[in-house]
Amino acid sequence: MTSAIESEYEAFLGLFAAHRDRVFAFIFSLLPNHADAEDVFQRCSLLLWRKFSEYDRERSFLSWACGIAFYEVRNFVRSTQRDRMQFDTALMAQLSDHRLKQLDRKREHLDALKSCLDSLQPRERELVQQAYLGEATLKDFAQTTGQALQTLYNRVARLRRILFECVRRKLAAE
Amino acid sequence: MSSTSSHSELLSLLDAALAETLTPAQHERLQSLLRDDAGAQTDYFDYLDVHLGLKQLVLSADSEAGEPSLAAGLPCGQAIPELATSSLAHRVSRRGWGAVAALGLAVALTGTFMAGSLCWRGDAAGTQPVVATASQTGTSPEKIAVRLSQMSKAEFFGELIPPIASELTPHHSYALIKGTVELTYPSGAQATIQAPAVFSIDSPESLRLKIGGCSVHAPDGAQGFQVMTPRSQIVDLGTRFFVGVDDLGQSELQVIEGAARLQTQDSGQDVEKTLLAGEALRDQTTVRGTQAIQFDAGRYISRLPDRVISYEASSDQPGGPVRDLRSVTVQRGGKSFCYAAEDLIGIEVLHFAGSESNRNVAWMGEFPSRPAETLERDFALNTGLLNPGGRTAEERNRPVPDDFRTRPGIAFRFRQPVINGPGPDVVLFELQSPVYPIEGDRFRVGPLAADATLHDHLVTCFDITLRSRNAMMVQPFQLSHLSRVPQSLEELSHPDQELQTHFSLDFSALAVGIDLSDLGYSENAAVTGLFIEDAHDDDNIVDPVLIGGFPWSATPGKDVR
Repeated sequence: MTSAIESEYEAFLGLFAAHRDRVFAFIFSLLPNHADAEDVFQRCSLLLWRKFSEYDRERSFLSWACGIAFYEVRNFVRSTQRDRMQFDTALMAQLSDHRLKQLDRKREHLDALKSCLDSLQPRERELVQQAYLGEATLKDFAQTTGQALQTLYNRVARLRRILFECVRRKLAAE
Repeated sequence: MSSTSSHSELLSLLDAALAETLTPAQHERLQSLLRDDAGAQTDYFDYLDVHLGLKQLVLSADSEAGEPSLAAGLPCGQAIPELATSSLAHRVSRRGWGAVAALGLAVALTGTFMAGSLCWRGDAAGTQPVVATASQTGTSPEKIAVRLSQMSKAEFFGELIPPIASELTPHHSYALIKGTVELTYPSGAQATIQAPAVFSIDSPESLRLKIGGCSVHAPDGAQGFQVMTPRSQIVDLGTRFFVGVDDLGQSELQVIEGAARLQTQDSGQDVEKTLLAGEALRDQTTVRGTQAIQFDAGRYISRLPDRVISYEASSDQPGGPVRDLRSVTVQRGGKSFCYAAEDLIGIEVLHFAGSESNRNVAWMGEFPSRPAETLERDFALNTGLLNPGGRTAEERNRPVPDDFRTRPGIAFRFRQPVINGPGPDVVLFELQSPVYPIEGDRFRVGPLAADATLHDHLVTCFDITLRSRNAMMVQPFQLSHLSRVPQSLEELSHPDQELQTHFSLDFSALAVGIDLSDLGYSENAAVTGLFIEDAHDDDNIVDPVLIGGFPWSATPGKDVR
């Protein structure tokens, strides 16, 4: 690798590292299935690096990356089986436009979420932690505490809503 | 969102979507709630952000459990040695000579960060409401035991290349952006993957190829090996075959030997096609089902390029920085050979001249009375003659002078002629720090004297680079400054006593093989010496610390290992 390409790679890594969460969030909102979103995210990561020489440094990296991600999502939807539940093209275009405008405030959203998470009861926080660490962990937790797994899923969903409302309030107050 | 009830309904549908239990009717309802309703869309995004944010917060808190240990070394003689190395992430966190540490550190931190992020992304595919994997959670990953058996100039996106012979992480998406890697499965099946490609290992008998090209050899006992692509599944029936996946997820199958079966779907119906040697097929999104295509045997990669695979060197403590080379493993003509350091053909330095730099002698202990000894007399990977000169582009357009003593660079003679055998015939090691080109400094190698049948060869990338965990960190050394840029070996002997740099910093030894055929030498030609000069096309200058020839017998069948 020449030093010019090396430097290009470093520039790319810096930008990609700063925006990768938002690019993934963008893809996930068009394709709210983890396996599918990750497939597209991986392909998109590679594509972004391959096309990085075409990126105009005067433009927003996030907009550029999400533009490419949008077409990757559409390619993915076209190439996968039709029995998969995916949003139709018109809705995807609407969501894409709207999502892009709203991604800039992701940092504030995460800060607010952390604060809301801290405000939960310790037992509730532990449940969220077990749930988001993986299914196996939650199953162990269900066995240890003698609760039905579905009950825990329902409680996690309820806590997610509490956190959702809490974040809303915090962001509105700022 | 127009009402509280539809707001609540939307969140319930999202819970089902995140749990991946959404029914088709619920999916339709979710679409209708989101369509043309900016309020509902905002709710949707915010709820997804809570979900993704929780995952990020929980996993980032959990991921402070430390890094995995690296593999221990194997002795010379193993075709695929596994070497003890230091963590590159650790190495690049320090600074190198005369350079801006912040750059290296920033890259290192970014790389580490990216590795974590990609690992997280790649593993999060699941079917339950909350999704994570073993590699994220700190629990033991499933054992699949697929090993990275070989690689050539490989680079994974956002993460270091695992050590040779190490097991790959199951279900982790690897994005190969440069070079080639070979994976070996427990059954003996081998998959050679070429960049650019994204792949993962889902089971001990399959490879998931999301994009890119892969050549598979499934020997006896490995029949049934599968390659899964976004649209199809290719099942080996005892064979060699190539699978390519394009940006749209369309697969191409080329059967080189034996037979393979492609399974796909057409209008919801399962379709199976069995291909024999010499046949090729593509599944397509634009055309229903599959379509026969032109057979192209050239798509199949039977082996990785010849190259220096790895080296071993001695250190004072296990895992510590190394000094003396002990052995080099190299692929020549498709076969791996391990040469002990003392079996390498040594050199005698005939000439040294710089172009710009006056920091030229790297040494340990006492300054050598004859600096050329740092390249001639020892196996140390941290002593040598650094920063030789090179010709500018304009100078390279002029005829090469007959007398190499008038040229910038290093001239040397082998202690016995090196025979031009298959693959690399000579190995060159250089010192490198992460603030300099990760893939090594570019240099030219050519004949000692001008010869119409021979030419220079430009080396643009080392075989073992800083991206490889096989690049070993070397022990500290001292670097002498000369009062002026040296133009002869004699001038190297008079360093400025006031100006010398003691490096207790991180430098690693990179290695590259030089194939004499690339210089125009004919097969079995006996080569007595070579001339090395910096490529002189950027600010970085090559830093040779060890040069040796590989012994080779021109008589077929005589093994010189």
